[in-house]
Amino acid sequence: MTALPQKRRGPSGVKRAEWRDGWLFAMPFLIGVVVFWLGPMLYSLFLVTQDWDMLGPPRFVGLLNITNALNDPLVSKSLYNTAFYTFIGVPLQLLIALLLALALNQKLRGRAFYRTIFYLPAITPAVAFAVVWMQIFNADFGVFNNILRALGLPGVNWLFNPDIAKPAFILMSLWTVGPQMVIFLAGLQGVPVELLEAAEIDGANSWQRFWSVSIPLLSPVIFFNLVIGIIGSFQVFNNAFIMTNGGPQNATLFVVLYVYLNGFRFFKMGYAATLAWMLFWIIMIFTAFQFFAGNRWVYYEGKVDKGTE
Amino acid sequence: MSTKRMSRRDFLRVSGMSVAGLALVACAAPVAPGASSGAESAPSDGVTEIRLGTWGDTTDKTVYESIAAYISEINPKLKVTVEQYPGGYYEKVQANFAAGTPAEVIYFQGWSWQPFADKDQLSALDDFVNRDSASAAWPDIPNYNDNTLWYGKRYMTVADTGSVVMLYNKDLFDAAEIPQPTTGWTYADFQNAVEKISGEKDGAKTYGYAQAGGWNGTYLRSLHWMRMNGGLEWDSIVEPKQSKWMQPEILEGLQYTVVDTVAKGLCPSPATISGGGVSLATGNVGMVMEGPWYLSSLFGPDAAVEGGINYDAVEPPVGSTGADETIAEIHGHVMAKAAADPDAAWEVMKAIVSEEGQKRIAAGGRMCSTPEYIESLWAPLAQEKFNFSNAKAYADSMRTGRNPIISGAGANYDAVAGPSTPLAVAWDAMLAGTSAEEAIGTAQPLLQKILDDYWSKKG
Repeated sequence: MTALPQKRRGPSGVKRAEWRDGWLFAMPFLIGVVVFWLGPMLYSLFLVTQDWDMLGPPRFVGLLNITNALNDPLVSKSLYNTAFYTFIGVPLQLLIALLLALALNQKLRGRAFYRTIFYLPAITPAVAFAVVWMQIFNADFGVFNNILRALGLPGVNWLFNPDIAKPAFILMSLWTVGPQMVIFLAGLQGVPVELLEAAEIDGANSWQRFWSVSIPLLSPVIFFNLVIGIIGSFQVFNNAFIMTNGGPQNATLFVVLYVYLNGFRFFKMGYAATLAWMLFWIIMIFTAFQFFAGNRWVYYEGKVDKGTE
Repeated sequence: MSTKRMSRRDFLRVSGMSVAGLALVACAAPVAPGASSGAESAPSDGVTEIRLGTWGDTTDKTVYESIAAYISEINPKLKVTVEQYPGGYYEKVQANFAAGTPAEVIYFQGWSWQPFADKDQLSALDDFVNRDSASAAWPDIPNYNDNTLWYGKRYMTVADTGSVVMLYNKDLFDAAEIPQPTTGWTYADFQNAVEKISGEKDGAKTYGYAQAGGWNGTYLRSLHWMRMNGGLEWDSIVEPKQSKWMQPEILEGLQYTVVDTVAKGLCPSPATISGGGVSLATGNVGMVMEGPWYLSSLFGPDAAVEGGINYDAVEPPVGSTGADETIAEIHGHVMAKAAADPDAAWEVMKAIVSEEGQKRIAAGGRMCSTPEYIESLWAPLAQEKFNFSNAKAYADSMRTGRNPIISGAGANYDAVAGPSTPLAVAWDAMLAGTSAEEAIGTAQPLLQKILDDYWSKKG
């Protein structure tokens, strides 16, 4: 006896109700994403092919903005400045954050207080942060030069010397490693004590325990901080805008600042959109590369290598 | 008896719909004020509202709220709403135009509105001026015409001004035993004073001149030194086609005032000035070129030092032209083409430039529009309030001073001398010790390229 063909049944009323409720709850977020993120993003993609001064309708120019960007010496200058800030600053930030996390992972009196203190700079308003650091960097009476002079060293022209301005910005960025520190701290507290004890029993000293046990287990956290740190550093803007306006002699002209200047000072919003998309793809490529390279050095517990299946 | 209770699912569903509905309402596009002002211009109560866009300073709030009150007095059917745009003023103005919602009347500096007129976003005022015989509001002075006309049409009224003159510390001049400057003093007198005043006494360093910090370390403030011996860095101030920066008269002026004075310790470096403790206002600098906005730092409740300093003003020292070639800033109002009621907007602009409007401008702390109003209305108030004698120097500078460059988008001041531009880099280099010839020599071809690109796009 052959079976009767089964009627295809659509989703039940309960299923449809669940879908409807799910969409309803997601709607506020989705509306926000479309209106405030996806919509402007797609419009900026449209602007890449337009010449738009914001005072009249956009004018189609094809790939002219891209050609101009490839030939603009200030684009390469701003990319160099941004890369310098990112690839020197981020590793230093991670190192400082890790060292702080290691220190604050010890059983110290007032540990919670210190953790709070080290995190506070991260929540300082950007303008206040910049204004304070302008005084710290002051060549005549700033804190840093006073310390240098007390040590018998000459003062440094921190923000007015093209060779020193970017290192000064990197130095500033080390003050806000609180969030990375907190994440490292969480990672350190996830390292099983038994593994460290076992290593100690096997004769490993503290450096060997740290390097061979803690670091591999921390590698996902290091990877996360590295990816987020690079993405964030590529978008450096506030301090350059407030403190130096890209000077001296374009030494702190970062990509996002150049995007801003083109859009709002030079009446070139189409060109600014082109530079913004260029930065987007650079960050995407670097992030993809990090994920690819991460497969080689990041250790995930529970991850099964194909060869061992 | 059964009671009907809402299930958890129903409660969550209603909550979600409410939140989604609220989000939709919040995200709904606001009715553009510009679009609605047409409706507002003929409301049932007959009152027309005009939005007036102004700078974000507290001074402007005082001045324009006073003017708004005056306008309501003389014209009860007109209500002026003062909108301040703190922070990035021109960015916000630009965004308003892009959104189609500019204020009807907008405050501009005289060299900044031309890109908007070029793109047909502003209304020319000539018809109103001719109809009301209001041309007296614009003195027949070349700089006033440069700042308010664009290709023969009048776009901007003159609300207030600000010439940059030489302010000097009388006590430091007396201590150096050199005569205090007077109108017509020469460049040689200036250099002598710079060098005689600079020095160190009782461990305190004094400088003859300070021009290297912030706004002072820019092209705009160096105008007099560049042009005092006949040099003009463009073929024309308005809509130039050629960059002519490599003239010896220009380079010599810049070499001394921007490079040598800093290198020789006669002028504090930008780094020193940035700290705020070394300035004319703090008493350790002999001279500075500054505008009327600086006077409150020198005397009065906002003075940098208690009791203020003993100072006065004088026109800049003359070069071979014998003239005061300083920057004479002109600020005023333009009318957005989107204004639904241009006549009402014009009434607001006319009230600001009227004598009563100018009295309120002066009382609020801004320098009046014309040299005559500066002398009759502003000078007496300023001299008393800020304790100096020669406010006439400001009026005289407005008669002869000029502007750096006036052009459309792509070749305007921001494009040649704003952040990251050739002149910004040149000034940074000069202030760090690079010779004027080398720094300007690097900038010159880049400036010419900016002009060439501008004109090729303009067609």
